[in-house]
Amino acid sequence: MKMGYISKFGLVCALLMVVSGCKIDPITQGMVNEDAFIKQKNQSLFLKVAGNIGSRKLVLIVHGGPGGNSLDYRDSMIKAVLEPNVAVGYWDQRFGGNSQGNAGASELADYREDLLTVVKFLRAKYGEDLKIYLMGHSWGGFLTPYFLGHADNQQWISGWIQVDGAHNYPLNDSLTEDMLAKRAVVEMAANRNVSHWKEVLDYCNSHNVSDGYEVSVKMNGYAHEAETLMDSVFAPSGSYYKEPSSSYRNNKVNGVITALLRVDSPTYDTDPDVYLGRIQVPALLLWGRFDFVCPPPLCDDLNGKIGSQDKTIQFFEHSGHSPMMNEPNLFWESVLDWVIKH
Amino acid sequence: MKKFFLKLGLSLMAIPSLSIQLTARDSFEVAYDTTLGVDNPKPQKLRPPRKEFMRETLPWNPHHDSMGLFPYRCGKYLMPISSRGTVASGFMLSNESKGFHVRFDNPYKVKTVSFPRKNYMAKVRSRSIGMELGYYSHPSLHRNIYVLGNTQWKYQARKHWNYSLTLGAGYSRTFLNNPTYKLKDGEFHRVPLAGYNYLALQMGTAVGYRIKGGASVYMGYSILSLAPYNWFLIPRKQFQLGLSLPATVFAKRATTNLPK
Repeated sequence: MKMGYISKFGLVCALLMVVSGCKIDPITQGMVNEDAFIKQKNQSLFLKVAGNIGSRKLVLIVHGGPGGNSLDYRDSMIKAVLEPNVAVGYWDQRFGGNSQGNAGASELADYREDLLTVVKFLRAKYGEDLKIYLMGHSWGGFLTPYFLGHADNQQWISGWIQVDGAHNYPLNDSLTEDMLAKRAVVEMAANRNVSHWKEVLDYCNSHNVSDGYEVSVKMNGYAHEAETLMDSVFAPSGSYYKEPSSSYRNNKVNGVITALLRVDSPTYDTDPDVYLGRIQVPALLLWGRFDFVCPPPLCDDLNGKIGSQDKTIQFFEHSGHSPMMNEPNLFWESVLDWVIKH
Repeated sequence: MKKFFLKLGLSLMAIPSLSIQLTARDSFEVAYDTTLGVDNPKPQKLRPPRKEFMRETLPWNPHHDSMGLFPYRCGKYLMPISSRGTVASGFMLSNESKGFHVRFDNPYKVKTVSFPRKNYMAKVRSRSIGMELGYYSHPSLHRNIYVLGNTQWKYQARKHWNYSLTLGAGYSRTFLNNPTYKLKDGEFHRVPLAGYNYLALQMGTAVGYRIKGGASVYMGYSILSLAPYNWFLIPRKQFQLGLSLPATVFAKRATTNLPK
């Protein structure tokens, strides 16, 4: 007997209901390498989890940007050092990496809500006993304390790793300006890249970061350039290899989008002092000594203001804004040691 | 004046019975023995013209076809493939994804320059309208199926090489390449067939090499953009490698299916 159209339709509907009704079976053992998307407010957020989930510890990377890409952090070093021992979560924020959608909300609070959803998903997928350590870098270093200091979010988190983070944008900008101006004088006196440093110094003298967003963006550009001119900053070593990521192409586009949306603009109206004191989770503060983008005094500011009793600070003497790229071995071993201890 | 009309008459005799638009630029160079008078019209030997120009405007609507340009039919449906058109199919590769595409191009404006005195193939400039169907899978991002309406400018050189520029717009449906979950009532549920609808815009260029019987292999580069993607658009570049065949390859079989 031939199946009628109504029966076929009913069968398809039933199949869809069965598929859509699937709940998650937690994975708690062994090595994993899984990708997933989490739908949240008109965006599908990409999440990769790779490494030893049997350790019951997971480092969740909150990437920089905004508009960055979590897979940028998945290089040969993290795969060799961190992933065999603990699991690593690579989460692409909205308008970043492989996260996609037609549109979507772009408020700071939406990013915070996304992070909470990702954390809940990790616990649902990999077990409620999973210890999650947030690792925020640069712009991610703004989001992590913003998340941890809100409501009871830190109850889900076992530790916080802050890497050259921008927890306070106005302070960050003024410190960058100050560091650039001082360094310019030193470099010009030493007769190194005089024309560039003169330009930087002139700009710093004629502008103030409080003049507006455009000045901050320009200073940020000079800051990124500055660390490439420092002889003390190590270039990524030969063994440092980034796997070809499907989202490198997206970086420029996402950079443009987040710039057009001015995603990080509201950070200037956010006072981190309101919530930093609430943060009680153990904290590891990692900073590159030659970071002009988020200068080291930011680390001191954070150290003095967070409520955590368990704080560890480490400076990388041959690094700029991204010590995981300048001194990857030392960096990931430091992270691993701290995570194992906590 | 008489010479002019004689030239024109001789020239028109050489033109096939297609709809031809002559313009001032379409001059026919006919060898003509000036020693011959009109009173003595015995031509000793008529040399073929060095070049012949022909402009055609072809119907691309199968229902208004009067020249058998659309013989391909499937059952009772006429397929929009002109016998003067091409069917191209190829792989689309990038460092991120793999896929394939099929494209039909129906020329509607053709300008042909032939060289009767030499054994050259004709130079053909054509403008086509057509359709493209494509698919690619981009691990960690999405799978994409798209349908585009295309317009193409193509230049076929007199030897083997041809060059084309294609613009297209259409619809794209993506399916996320990984399991997708949504938080609902405190629990995560899997979302079936998660993906997005986009407006697809494409610009591509290709270089082809004519091999035999009008077939050519081609190598192309295209940029396919999806919009609105994250409030904006996402461009993706793709390298294409494929084979283009004249539609007559399919038309022969199709003609046999035509009702008698």
